Amino acid sequence: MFQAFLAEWLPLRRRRFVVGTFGATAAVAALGAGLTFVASGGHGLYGTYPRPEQLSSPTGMVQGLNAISILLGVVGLCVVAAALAGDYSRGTLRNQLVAQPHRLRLLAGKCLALATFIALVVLAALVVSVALSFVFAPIKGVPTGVWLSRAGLHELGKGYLNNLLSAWGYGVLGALVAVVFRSPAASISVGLAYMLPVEIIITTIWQPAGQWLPGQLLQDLAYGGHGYVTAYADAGLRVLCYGLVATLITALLFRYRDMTS
Amino acid sequence: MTPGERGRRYWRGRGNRVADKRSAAVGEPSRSVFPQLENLRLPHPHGHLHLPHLHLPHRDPHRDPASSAGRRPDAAIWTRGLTKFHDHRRSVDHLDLDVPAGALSGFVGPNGAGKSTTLRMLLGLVRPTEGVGYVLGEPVSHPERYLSHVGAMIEGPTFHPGLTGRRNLRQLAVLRGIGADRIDEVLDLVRLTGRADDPFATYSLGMKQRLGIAAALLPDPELLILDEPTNGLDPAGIREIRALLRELVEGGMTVFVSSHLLAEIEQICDHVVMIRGGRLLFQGRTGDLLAAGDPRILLAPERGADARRLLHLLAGIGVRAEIRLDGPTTVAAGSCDQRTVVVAHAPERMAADLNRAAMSVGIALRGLRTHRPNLEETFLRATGAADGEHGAAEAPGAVADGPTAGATVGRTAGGTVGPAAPGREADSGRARGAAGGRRAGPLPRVAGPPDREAPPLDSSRAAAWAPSGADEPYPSESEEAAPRASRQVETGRDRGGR
Repeated sequence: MFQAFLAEWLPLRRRRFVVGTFGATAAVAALGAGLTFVASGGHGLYGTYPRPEQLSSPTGMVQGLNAISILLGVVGLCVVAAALAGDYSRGTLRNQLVAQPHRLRLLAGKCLALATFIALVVLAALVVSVALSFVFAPIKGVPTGVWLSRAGLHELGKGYLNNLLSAWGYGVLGALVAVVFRSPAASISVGLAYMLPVEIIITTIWQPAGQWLPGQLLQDLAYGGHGYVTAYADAGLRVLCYGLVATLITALLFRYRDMTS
Repeated sequence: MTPGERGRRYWRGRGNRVADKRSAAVGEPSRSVFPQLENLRLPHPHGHLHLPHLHLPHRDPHRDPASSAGRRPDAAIWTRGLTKFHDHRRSVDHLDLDVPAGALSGFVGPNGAGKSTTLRMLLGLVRPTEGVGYVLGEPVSHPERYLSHVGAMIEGPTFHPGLTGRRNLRQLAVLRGIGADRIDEVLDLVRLTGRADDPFATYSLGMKQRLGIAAALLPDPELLILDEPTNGLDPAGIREIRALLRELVEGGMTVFVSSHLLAEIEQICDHVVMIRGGRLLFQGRTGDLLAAGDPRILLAPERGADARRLLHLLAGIGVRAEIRLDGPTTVAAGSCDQRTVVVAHAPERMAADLNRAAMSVGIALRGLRTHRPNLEETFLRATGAADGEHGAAEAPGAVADGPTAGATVGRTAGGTVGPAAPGREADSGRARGAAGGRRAGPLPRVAGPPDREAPPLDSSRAAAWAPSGADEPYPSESEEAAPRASRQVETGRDRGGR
């Protein structure tokens, strides 16, 4: 599995891929941090922006990151789906399966490498977001004294982990659709279409569905259970169940389906 | 014992004993196109007969130790009843492969014949629906046991376009746990070192092909499986790859190469597997297959009018023959000019004797040349016959066998030579059978020009030119190659009424 992990990192380290992914993430993080401070106290389409007193609390430093949690999830889904489905569509998976016939080891190694990559992407977003928060806070008159306190650093770590779990959740969905559709375009479009418009429409029409739909639950998780109807523990448990089912289906398909394309 | 040694031992002593036993015990639902080659088979003419393979269990055959009892230890690839269904269609249909270790074996078949599916099953990428298969002595249901000794490139070279050639190889080397030194070795082997650090997307088709071969060679495999390895290569590149494959085989590697370039297969492969519609048509030595074809001697009489005499003469000495014209499709018989050619279905070694025989009756030949079918012709005849083209041979005026049939030259009335329908070459031997031995006319019907001659092959035709040893001093080449074949030929002649 470790060999598969190392092997998967070679294509992930392509310069254009790294620059593109991390550049886009940094831009989105900057946008999130900027808008969070600029629009603080206002009303958005799906809720209210953080109030100035929230921004000055220990959680204030990660408010910018939370604002882009969906986009980080989208990045996670796209990276995983593009990598796995791309191996199918290019035919490179054939070579890899001849080199590593233990299919589950290969899949595990790939997923571990992709999970690490997503962790770095979220970390990059966190760094940019926090750095810009320190820039924007004085402009809006938000005190930052408690941000670097013990409680502030704890919230920072928690915010990173919550957003990472959310992005990984999107990544699990990306792996599932990649193995099902075996085409990057099809898997990314289907994955995003479900997670964004479909779930949002369903939740808008029938709000209780938000407590059970995986995309909504991932949002709850990213926000640490704040601001949504489902408690953090409930959201985490449900996401875990969804994740296990999706992982099982992905593993079974990858292990037993013929490599016909 | 190295794979090469095992392979050489196979060639020396094995012959076709295994195939004999198999056909006797299992009762394959197939028949031979080339009666000299008992392991050349076609689907049953009355549709698909699904006879159970007596030695094959239906479920999880690898758990049954008896299922591998008949497996040859020196076979690099051995399958019995290997079958794959795709959407209720048989892509591969009870395929029995025996690829000897140390051989350079060609895998040929028309598009959709099931070659790629077979290769995928051998590499563990596709699970067989039925049957058993062993690669390097290990079952295909456990590819992890043998794939570390197998290199493969199937369906073209596939790599990350954004990575350099070297990094693409690096990825596969990391997966296999191979050191970086080997990457340089294989790059050097395929002459790609100079472009190794360029992105794969910038490679020409030939360079991509070379990289694919390099990737297959990475593990220094015992068995190399290549699908169309010379696609996109220029002539010099093809020659290099040909030499490389030969070199690898001489080093003890088994190479199983699928290709549509039959001339390539003919040149480099000492063993060939031919499939069609997922079923085995032939497997064995390439020389045996070619010898079982239809070698011809083309005699061009100085005077066109002598063609008919020459035909009678050949029939008299037991050589089946026909007259062909290189000229227009309809030519008056009396005006047969110097483009008239008498085609004798006889092996090359008879050429001098035919020349002497012609001279002895005062027929001067202005030309005499031999034609031995190549693999492409043999392949097309075999696969064409499988399409049922041989049915055309049963059409009126184009039947029967027997070398003496040359005496019954032609059924075309009025001495006019007309064009023959495709597949209805009115060779003299066939004409006799159709007429039940009657002499029906002065001249044979004429088929197309020599370069278009590709009569559908059936067992009667293949038997016709092959005389018995008793009354014929020219045993066929295939008789020498396969003793059993000669017995079958004799049987065929008996049926033919001699």
